[in-house]
Amino acid sequence: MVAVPEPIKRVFDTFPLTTYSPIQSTTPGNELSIEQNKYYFEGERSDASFCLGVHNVIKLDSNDKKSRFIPSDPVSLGSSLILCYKNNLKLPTTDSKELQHSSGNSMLKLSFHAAPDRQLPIFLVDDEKSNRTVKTASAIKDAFVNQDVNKNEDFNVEQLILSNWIDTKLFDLWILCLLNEEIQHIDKLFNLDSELMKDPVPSYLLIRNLYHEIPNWQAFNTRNPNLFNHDPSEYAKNAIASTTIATKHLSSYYDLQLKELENDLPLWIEFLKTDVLKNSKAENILLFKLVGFVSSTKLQNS
Amino acid sequence: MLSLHVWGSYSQSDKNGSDISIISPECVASSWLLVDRLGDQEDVKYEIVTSSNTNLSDIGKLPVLITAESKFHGFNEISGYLFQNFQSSSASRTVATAELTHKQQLINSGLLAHLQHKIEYINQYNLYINTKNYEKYTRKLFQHYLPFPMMYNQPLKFYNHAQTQIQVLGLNKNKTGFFDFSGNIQDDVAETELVNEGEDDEDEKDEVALSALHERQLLAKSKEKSMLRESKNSLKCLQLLDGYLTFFLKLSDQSTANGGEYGYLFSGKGASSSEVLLFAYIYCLTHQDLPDRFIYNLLRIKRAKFLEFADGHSQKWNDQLLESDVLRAPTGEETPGLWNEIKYRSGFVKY
Repeated sequence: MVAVPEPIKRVFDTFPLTTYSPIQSTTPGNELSIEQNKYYFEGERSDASFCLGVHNVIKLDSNDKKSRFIPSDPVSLGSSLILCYKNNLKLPTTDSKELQHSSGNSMLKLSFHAAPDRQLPIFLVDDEKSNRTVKTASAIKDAFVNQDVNKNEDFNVEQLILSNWIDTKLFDLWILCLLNEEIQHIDKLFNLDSELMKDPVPSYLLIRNLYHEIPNWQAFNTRNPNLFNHDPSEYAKNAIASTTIATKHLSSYYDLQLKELENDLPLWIEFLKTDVLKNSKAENILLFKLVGFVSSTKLQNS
Repeated sequence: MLSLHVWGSYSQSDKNGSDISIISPECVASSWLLVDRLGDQEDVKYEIVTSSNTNLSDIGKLPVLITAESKFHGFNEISGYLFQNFQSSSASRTVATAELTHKQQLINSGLLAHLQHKIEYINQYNLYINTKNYEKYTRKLFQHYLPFPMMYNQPLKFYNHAQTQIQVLGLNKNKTGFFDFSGNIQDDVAETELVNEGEDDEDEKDEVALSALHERQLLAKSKEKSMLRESKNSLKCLQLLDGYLTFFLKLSDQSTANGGEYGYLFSGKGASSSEVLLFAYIYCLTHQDLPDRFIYNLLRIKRAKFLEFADGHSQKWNDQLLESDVLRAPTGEETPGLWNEIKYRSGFVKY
């Protein structure tokens, strides 16, 4: 064995080789803040768990002292109700953080930037081996309702058509509503940072950033290029004057769609009164989807 | 006076030269409905203007129906107005939405959304993304619709829209990776990828003689590849279309009056507004002037009775259109010319 020469040994002794323990990717503070934003569904525990990423939650007070949490936007609300229905869960309440109630499945407040297509809700599933799959908003929709009319056992043709009507027409109307109406509590609806919202400059940037993204949801601007094909000067004027970016084309289209809804809504009410009491799986899912939109609009108004 | 503004061309000398364009099935359906409802009403004057001028519409999209009092945009609103205000004549083949039961009305409006959100993009694929149809047919159409120099930009704009829109259905001209959510459109496959695939390396020694041949080989190979990709997309498109049409076929099966054959969905009396739009889409998808009629071939083999039924209606309505002689060319400020565009942009003219 060759002896290490003295000068070299001295150099290495000055810098002793030590192995440090690995640095964790999350810190306790980080985990705590994730945990704070989580709202657990009530129900039985299982090995696999899921997490629904939503914009924000609203606290609903009820008579029995427990307050329930529901997502603030219609699509997430519909999704969370369908999830509860399919998995036999109950909506998160104020005491579902305690272990005996919680199911391990949760709703998580997120920024829309967290989703790969910058669109919420997203659905995170951890299976028994804690492999994680991420489902985007459109994948959730397909998972709830199988679009193949020949293979879908729960939905008949008519129900499938109606389900698609909700997904396309009402979702479009929701996007149009966001773009056209001046919304009072936009920061609460999309969980914008309250500290930043105090200052005019960052709040302006946050809102612009949000409005920039909204037309991309469900490929709305791709499907309606004629609405965004407007005069640039008109766009800039609107952007400075107010928080909405409605232009002539957009607002006319919004009016048009509202008129159609006015026509269709009584039909829906009649349909729900007479047909949906049979309590099949498909009809319940339809109902939850619709309820998501209707009750969210009601909450925005109150 | 009712005037319906649509995409199309009009020629005074040749009656068959006038045409309502298949680039917008909603325009076709609205015109059909107009002649069907008003065809033999003496007291109502109406015209169809092939203005091709989207500035006329408040939502930037044709068709638009202009009456003395107001404007009606899109097929849904136009059909609603026509059904509400004009009684059906004996020759009419349509049934007003109000005559249906409430549930049927709801399904009808669901089917309209289904057509406008799904089959619309099949039509876009067929007209713009299918290379043969686009280069030999669709692109050339615009010179009849728009005056110089407006016809250069418009087809390109529509082509770009179509290219992003077909991605909504998952049809994509170019390959994208599994994790590519951004939907960026890459221009082409890198040249080097093709060069490396050639296995006969010995031939490359003689640079001058063989590089031209080699180049030709490579070109042929890349052409073959893009053709393969396109036929794969076309097959996928056919499969999607077939799935979408199943909705209508199943509904027709449920309707007892039809006795096994394809027929009216809701009422034996005639077609509802969603069916008129469906026939318009089928007419546009299977139009006889298209160089690549792959959709027609599929429907002829697989859904012959359905195609026959749809064709019968579009044939009749088209004949009625030709007879009634209500088409006219745009005049004055309706023309989609450069001068009018400038006036519109600068605010001198408001529609």
